[in-house]
Amino acid sequence: MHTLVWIAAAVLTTLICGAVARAGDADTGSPWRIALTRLRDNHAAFTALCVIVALFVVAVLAPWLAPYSPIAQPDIVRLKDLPPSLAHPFGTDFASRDVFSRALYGARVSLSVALLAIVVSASVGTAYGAIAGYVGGRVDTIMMRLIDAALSVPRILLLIAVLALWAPVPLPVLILLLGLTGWFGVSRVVRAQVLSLRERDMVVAARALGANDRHILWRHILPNVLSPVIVSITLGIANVLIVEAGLSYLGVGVRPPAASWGNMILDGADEIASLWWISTFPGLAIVITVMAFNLLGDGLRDALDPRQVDG
Amino acid sequence: MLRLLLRRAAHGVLIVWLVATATFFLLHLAPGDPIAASLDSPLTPPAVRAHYRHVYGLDQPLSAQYGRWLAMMTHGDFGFSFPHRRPVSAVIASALPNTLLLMGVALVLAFAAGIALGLLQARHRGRPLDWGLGLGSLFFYSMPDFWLALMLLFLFAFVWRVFPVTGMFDPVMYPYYGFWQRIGDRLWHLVLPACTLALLSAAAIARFQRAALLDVSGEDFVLTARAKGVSERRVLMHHVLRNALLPVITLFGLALPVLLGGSVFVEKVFSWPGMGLLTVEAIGTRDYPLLCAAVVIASVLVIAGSFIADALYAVVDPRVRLE
Amino acid sequence: MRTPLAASSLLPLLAVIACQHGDRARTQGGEYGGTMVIAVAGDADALLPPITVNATSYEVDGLVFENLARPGATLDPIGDQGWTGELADSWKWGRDSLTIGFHIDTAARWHDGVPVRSSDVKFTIDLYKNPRVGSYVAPLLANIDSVSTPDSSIAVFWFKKRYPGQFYDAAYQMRILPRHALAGTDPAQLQSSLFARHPIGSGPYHFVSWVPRQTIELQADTSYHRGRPRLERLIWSIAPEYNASVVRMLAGDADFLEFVNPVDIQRVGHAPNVKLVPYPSMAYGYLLFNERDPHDLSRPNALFADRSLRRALTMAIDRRRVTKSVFDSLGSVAYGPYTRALPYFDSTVAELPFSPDSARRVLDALGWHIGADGIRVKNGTPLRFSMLVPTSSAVRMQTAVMLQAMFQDVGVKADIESADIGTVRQRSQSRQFQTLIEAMQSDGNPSTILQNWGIDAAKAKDGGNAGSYENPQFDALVDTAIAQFDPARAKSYYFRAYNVLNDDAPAIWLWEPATVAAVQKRIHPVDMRADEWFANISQWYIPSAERIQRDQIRLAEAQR
Repeated sequence: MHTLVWIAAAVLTTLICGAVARAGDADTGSPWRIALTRLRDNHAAFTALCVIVALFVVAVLAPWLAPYSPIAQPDIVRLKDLPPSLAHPFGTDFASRDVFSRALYGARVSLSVALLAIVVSASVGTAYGAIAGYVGGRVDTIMMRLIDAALSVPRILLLIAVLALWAPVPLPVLILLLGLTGWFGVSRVVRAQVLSLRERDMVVAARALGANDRHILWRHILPNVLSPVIVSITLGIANVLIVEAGLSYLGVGVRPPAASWGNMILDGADEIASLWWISTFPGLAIVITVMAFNLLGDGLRDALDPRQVDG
Repeated sequence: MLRLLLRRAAHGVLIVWLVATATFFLLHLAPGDPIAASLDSPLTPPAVRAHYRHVYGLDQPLSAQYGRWLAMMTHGDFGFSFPHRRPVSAVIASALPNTLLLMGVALVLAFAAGIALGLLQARHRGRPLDWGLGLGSLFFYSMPDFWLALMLLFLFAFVWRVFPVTGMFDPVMYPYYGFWQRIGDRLWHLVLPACTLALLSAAAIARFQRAALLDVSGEDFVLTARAKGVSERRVLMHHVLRNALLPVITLFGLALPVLLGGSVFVEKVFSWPGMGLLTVEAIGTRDYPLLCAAVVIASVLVIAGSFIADALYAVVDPRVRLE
Repeated sequence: MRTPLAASSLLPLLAVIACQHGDRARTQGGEYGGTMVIAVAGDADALLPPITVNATSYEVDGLVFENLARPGATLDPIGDQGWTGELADSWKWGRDSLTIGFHIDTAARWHDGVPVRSSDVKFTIDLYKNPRVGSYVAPLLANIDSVSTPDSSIAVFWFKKRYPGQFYDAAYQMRILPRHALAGTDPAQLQSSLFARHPIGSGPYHFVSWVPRQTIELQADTSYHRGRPRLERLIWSIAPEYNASVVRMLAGDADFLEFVNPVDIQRVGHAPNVKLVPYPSMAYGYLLFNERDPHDLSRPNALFADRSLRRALTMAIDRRRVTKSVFDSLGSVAYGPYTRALPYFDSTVAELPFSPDSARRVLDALGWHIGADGIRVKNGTPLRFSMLVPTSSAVRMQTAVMLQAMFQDVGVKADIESADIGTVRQRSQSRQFQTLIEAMQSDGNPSTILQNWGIDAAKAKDGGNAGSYENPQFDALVDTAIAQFDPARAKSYYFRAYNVLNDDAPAIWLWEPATVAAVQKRIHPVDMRADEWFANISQWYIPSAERIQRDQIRLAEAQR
């Protein structure tokens, strides 16, 4: 569990540093610098970015921020099901655990699951889309047909079935499954981009100069599909968060006693009328987080759109 | 045109077969079986379980089971549901219409609300109303469907006690109602589940519609119309909306899988006896024939949805031909 | 805003309705009519008693069909003391006690008007025993050799041997089915037959309609041979979400909810239109240890084959606190695989005390010493196991979370493995688990204890003894008890067997929930029994002054 959180944090840091470094390196005219400037000027997206950074800080610092342990059960008879108060801002649950502390720790689990899953999706999706687009022809047709098949089954249904039938599924496998069912969109975007890049001057030129496929793919094509991928990663995180919450709500996602926002909602779902606080606060946390990622995704799309001209 | 239709249909069949086969093996390779799950009393003698396993062919090798199942499927026979003790087709026949009703109503509501909102936003572009509605629809767009359902249930059924919370009609009075009362009763029961589903998709449609409208308003013919002195209202309704509706139609195809997925949760929370709830329950009881059928139907619906969206697109926009 | 429940806070709510039994006298007044909507979670599977397994089917079947006789409130399984006739109005034992002759009430009619005959009884038992039907009851009828029908109203049961549970098996294991309606159907096709969806019985209510996954409706049989039922219509309204059922009770849309969660007792109890009715329960829960190695069933379990370890783990659990937390004042600690509602309940059994200190001492003595991370270790293996729990059971999930913390307290790491009920069942049958939190419905017949804890049930491939507890002494005591015709002697042997079981700690006996039903105030329930709450439903009534709109339906007919 903890290892996963640290891996997620490391991945995120690398991503951010990479982006900043790229923007910093390049000269003022570079598309990355322009994008960053545009993003800063988009108030909504910038606020969203701040919220996201804050959420990650909370997730990483949860052990120091949380007033109680997320799994401690101080008194399962007298301190259970307490409504929100100063001592317990979000109330307590059936086992006298502090819902606020659990929500903080839940941020860790939910965010790392989403982040790691999207890394899987993005890598698989990019690779698949790039290959399909670059190779083209029959291979491309078959590969796209397979995607059509995969997309024709509602993702949530597929996940529920797999997770319930092979229960209990350990967390890393859950992440893998979330990732492996979420890349179809990315691969379509990448393929479309690659198809159009394939015939562009620089690629044609590189090929004429005798560069091999691998070189072309890595040097000329992949760097140019990065921006749509970044946008779909951001929007994808929002989606994965919701999917994970849904699975955990059905009891097949993140398993207790680990707290994820989804399984915290489950804890209170049957008693929504008597103990409304148990399900309401984790749900709000999800909405805020997902909203932030959606706003940021929109902002990034606008910022990275080369067609758009400033002013 | 006919050849094209046939080709699309052939592709559709291929996809459905792929999906069906994958589902079959996915389910049958999983631990557990319908007999163990349904005869859940530990007192059930092993001989009885063995008896049923034999009756349902679960003691045969997987390849034989697959062959038999595929042969049955091609004849339109989905098999027998052990937990329901009925043919799968009968079980589905009593659930699918309920889901289609729910989704149909939700779809209409969602598109009506989504297009209206998008229009409103586009008209007030950049003003506080646009901004507020945008944030509002994003708020709903960002909600997990089951949580929205739970919150609506909590507010409208517990706190204010306005709407019924379960089922499709009044269990006692329904048979004694007249025609209009029956319709009213059904609509009354539809309000919460349909609105939950509709709210989620309406938000997405509104966002899309607004973007499409703004895209179109920048085009030459719109600028020309404006320059000719056509009123802003007329420009929006006649020139912009007509063209901006096109991309929204494609959303119809995309909305189907989303609604199907969402119906799983909405049906669960509101005890709506449709396919979503049926499927979740079938997973719990390891009802393989029913699950296979449910997945096949879902994929047929999705494929049909995207085909209809493409066809509509071609009909509405003469520039587009299928392929 | 509500405060946490204190024990005392619930008692007044329940006391209000403690005068239930006083109601009975008033039913003599005889008021017919009214509709009761019963909120249930699951749909029926098939309305055919030999093969139905789920709760809703069982309830509907119980009112549409009849047994020959039913036991009194004590549920005593020995002999026929306290039994009342149902389809049979009298019975006679053969001189050698190897036969029992039942006389069928000549007034009894199937709902289609055909009289009930002894040939129906013979047909029924043959059907139950037919392997092509696949009835789970069949093995329980193994001691009945055959049924003969000397005349159209007498059915004679012939037994293979003389044993205390003879009468119970003959009179209560089967619900009698109409031969004329079923004889033409292939037994293997019964489950999908029209009859299974449109049953014809002889009970107090006849079948009206079944909208799959939504409603099942029954109507009173006005010519029922044991007296016309008072409530005119019964409607099972199906909604899987518990939440929804509570709302419907509060809103007055539903009239009866079999089980109210302890958390909701207060809210439901304070509703002006609803009353709470506690009734005895047969359910109990426990954490079962697997004494076999799940990976190789021929080998003993590395942890739980050790009796002292099982005892130590039991002592680490504060069962009273867990029960209090999960069920508030509406549950009691379980003493073994039987409940307080049964005649063979043993309150004197020597329980293992709750004592984390003793648990720690024993674990230390067994060589399990606290390791670096606070978890006990022996020869490099940590004292760690998983608890298998069905996700769908909120009560068991909550219990698991609490047990986990209590085990942690004595240096034992227990992981929660939650899976859907199907997986849990399958893994329980194939013994693929370390420990399992199980909830059971105890049987009125104490001899069934061997089906869960006896040696034979452990050895059978997927027998009911999933934990593979084996103690010949226990089996011998139960066998002796079963052979006793004197209830007092039987009891003393059972009690000795229970003590052996408790000492061996094959499981941690956890809780026994008291069940509290929610009922609309206008409905007056009578005598809710532990085994079948609905058994006496034909005596429930709604006084005409308290009737609401839905009670008026077909009132004219009902008044006739």
